[in-house]
Amino acid sequence: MNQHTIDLVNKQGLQFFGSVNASISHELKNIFAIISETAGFLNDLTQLSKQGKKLELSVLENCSNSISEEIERGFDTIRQMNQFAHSVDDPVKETSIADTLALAVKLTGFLSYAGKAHIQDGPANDITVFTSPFLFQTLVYKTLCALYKAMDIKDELTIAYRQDDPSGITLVFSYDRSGDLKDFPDPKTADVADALKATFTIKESALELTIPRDNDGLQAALADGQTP
Amino acid sequence: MTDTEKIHLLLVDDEEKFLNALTDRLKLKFFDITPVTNGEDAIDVTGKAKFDVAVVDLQMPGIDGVQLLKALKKSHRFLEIIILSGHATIDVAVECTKLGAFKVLEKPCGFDKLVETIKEAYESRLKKKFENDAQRMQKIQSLAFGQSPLGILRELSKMDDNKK
Repeated sequence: MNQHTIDLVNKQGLQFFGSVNASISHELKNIFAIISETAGFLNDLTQLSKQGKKLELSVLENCSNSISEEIERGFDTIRQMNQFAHSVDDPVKETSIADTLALAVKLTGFLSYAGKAHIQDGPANDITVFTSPFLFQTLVYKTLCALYKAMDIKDELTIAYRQDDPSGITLVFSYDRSGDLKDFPDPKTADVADALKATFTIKESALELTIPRDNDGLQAALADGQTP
Repeated sequence: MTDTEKIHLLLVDDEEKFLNALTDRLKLKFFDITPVTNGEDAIDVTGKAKFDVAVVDLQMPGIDGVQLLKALKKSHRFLEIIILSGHATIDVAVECTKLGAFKVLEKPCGFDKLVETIKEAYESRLKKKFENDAQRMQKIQSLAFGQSPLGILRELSKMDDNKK
């Protein structure tokens, strides 16, 4: 990994961190907006009730349920934000494929153009790779974004992973209708893939991302303090 | 406000629960609300019914707020459009204003502020429509002199673009 790539990855990492935080804050704003309007509606009904209008119990129940659901959604979002924030704790470590995929699907789900993605159950024992958890998260997130943009919003994505070879893990993103992926990976995504020694294979109905089980070069570079 | 004076309001937001909560509250303020969850449905309903004001979310899948603003302004020039944005930056506000948005509000905005802005947008629509009608009337009066009946009809059809 040369200095040019390390610099690009550093800059991209910061941009990625910022953009994910922006999408999380957007999600939280939506949640607060729903709670605010529902609470306001309850207040309006209370005022009307004082003026003699009958309060419907079912309406109150719906409002109460809606507020509870949004609070739970808010907690979920904050849990994901927390999990994402901790992805920079260790420069390299054993990183769970299942956890990385699950978080990437949830985080991309906040984007307006995100479609539905279904993660197939992996092997009984979780597969891990020794890599940079943050950069791996970045790569999976960017891959999902590219796929969502290429697919129709109504199409669904199925994600599976396998360990065909002891030295590498393959993530398979399958779709019914192939979108326009001719420009994928874009130069920025390619730089992240390069840093992780990951490769992409685009097939008619699937995009495959292969990542090495161990990335000694990355570990050495990060140990020298060359990346975040 | 009576039924006939109700402001016909189109609400467009892909966040369905927000849309429902806002619809419930605005109904108590005597607005006539049509809520839709995407730009395609918004274009569809504006082709079938008359609206005074539209409140449009900026970030939506498919046709987004900016695209919808352009489309609605093109087909319904007197419809006032308020944009709700989760990221109401200056750039977004400038772009939407250039495209004819009445106002860009940051989401969540206070309910009272939203109601006040909707009423201002409605007043603006009435004013623009009145001015347009007055100009039209003036033109018809001037046409009445020196034009054949067929010529007057031709000129009138040119003037009748979209009354919505």
